[in-house]
Amino acid sequence: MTKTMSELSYVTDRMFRPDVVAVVDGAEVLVGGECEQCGDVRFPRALACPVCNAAAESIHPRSLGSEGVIVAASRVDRAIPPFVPPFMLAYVEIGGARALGQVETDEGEPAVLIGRSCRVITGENYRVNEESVHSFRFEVNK
Amino acid sequence: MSAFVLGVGQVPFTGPTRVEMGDLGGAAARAAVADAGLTLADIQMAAVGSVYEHPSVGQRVLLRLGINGVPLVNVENACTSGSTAIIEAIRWIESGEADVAIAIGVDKMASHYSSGPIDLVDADDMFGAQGLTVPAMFGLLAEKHMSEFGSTREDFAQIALKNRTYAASNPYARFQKAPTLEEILGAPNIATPLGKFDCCANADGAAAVVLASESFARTHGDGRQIGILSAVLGGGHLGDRLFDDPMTPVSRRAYERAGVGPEDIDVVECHDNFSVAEFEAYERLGFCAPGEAQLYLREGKSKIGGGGAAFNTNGGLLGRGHPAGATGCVQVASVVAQLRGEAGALQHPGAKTALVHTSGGGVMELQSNATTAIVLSR
Repeated sequence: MTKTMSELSYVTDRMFRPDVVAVVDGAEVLVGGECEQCGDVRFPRALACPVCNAAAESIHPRSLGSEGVIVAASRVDRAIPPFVPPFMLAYVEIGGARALGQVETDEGEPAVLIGRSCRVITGENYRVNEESVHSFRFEVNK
Repeated sequence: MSAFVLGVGQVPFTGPTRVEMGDLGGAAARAAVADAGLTLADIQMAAVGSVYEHPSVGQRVLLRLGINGVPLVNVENACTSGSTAIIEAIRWIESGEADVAIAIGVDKMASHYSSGPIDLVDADDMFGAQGLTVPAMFGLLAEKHMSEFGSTREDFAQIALKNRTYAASNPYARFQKAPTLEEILGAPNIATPLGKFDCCANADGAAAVVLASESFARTHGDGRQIGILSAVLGGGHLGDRLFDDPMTPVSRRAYERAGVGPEDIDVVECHDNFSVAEFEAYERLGFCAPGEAQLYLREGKSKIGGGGAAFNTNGGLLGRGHPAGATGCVQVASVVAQLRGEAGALQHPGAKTALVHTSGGGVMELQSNATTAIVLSR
């Protein structure tokens, strides 16, 4: 269901962006965008609709929910500072969109993650000058 | 034919060098003009591609050539900058604005970036801010293919081995010694399943292509000219490389305009910035069905004389190294050598028609920044 910015309760504490995670019914959810003109849904919320060219003000925040499915994963052993490898990256299909993020897992092989369900969490993504910067992440469901 | 290639030239691709960017571009341009049998005074228009050099790169190159007053277009289009410069020059010829044009590509990426393509992500992008690197994007692509279609880590290693082996016979390539399969498989992981040798290295370098109209080629060509059948530039759109294919529509348009199909192509230069990118190209450029790239590879069809279209016959980005602005130009130079029958030990028998594909990326919210496809024939 489409919610306006004011209706969503965003998670902003230490977050790298204030508009990507909200809390709905006690669960952290990913927030994407939905075009009011053509209904296109994607993550992150587009700056303009790539389907019908609607301007940003016509693309409204939309909860994509808290649960998704991993469709590709790779373990990254070389990264750009301030990211500290190794970490797992994955594409997750969630709420009619696709998002890329880091995955919390104790399973080392990417192949075993594909097709697994996961949920949205928030946590430290990297540190800058000893300050913790948080982001959305995905945790594999047991 | 919309235009003809009369000459190609390049400088050796290297690691970090103290040679000025303008001198690299100038040397490549002089080599291309000499190869065409022309003089610098014949050049009527220039398009110069680079990504990581300073503004007015073309003006700085032309200063080294004594070329004054000709129309000049500087092009920055990510890794397709060199091929976009070629397409720009072709358009000038097609429109009748110029009879002879030169496309030059130059970059000193090894000097600017020491750790390969790893650094080349904008952390302001949503996905760059998740720690995504360019190798990781292609690692994800490879993992997805392995999961869906049964390709293996060794398939990607075989492409790295092929291209780096070809590079060892190309005196202009950055890497003159090929690793063994064992070394490729045992190299440090960058982003699974891709190790160090599955990733192209940055390079300093330049390449150039002299293009001419049909009437000029007829009167001034030395019989070695190669025709441009089609040249297509495609734009990127919001999406991701795994699920939103930027290569198929652009290559299909290029085939259609050229009046050929993949079955007519003898030689391909594709944008193998990672081993899996060539693997992906077998499918998305139409040389095999989706999900069957490993079969095309394992049957040896992408090798020189392998019975299919030979891919990246002088080393590709994996073996030559990747000076982004120069890559599109050196790809065309590579297939021109093949179509002329001048590729020496790397000659693919009977090469008549070729495809050059280049991919540009960097804005990670887009499935590509730009994609080019150029079909050439002798």
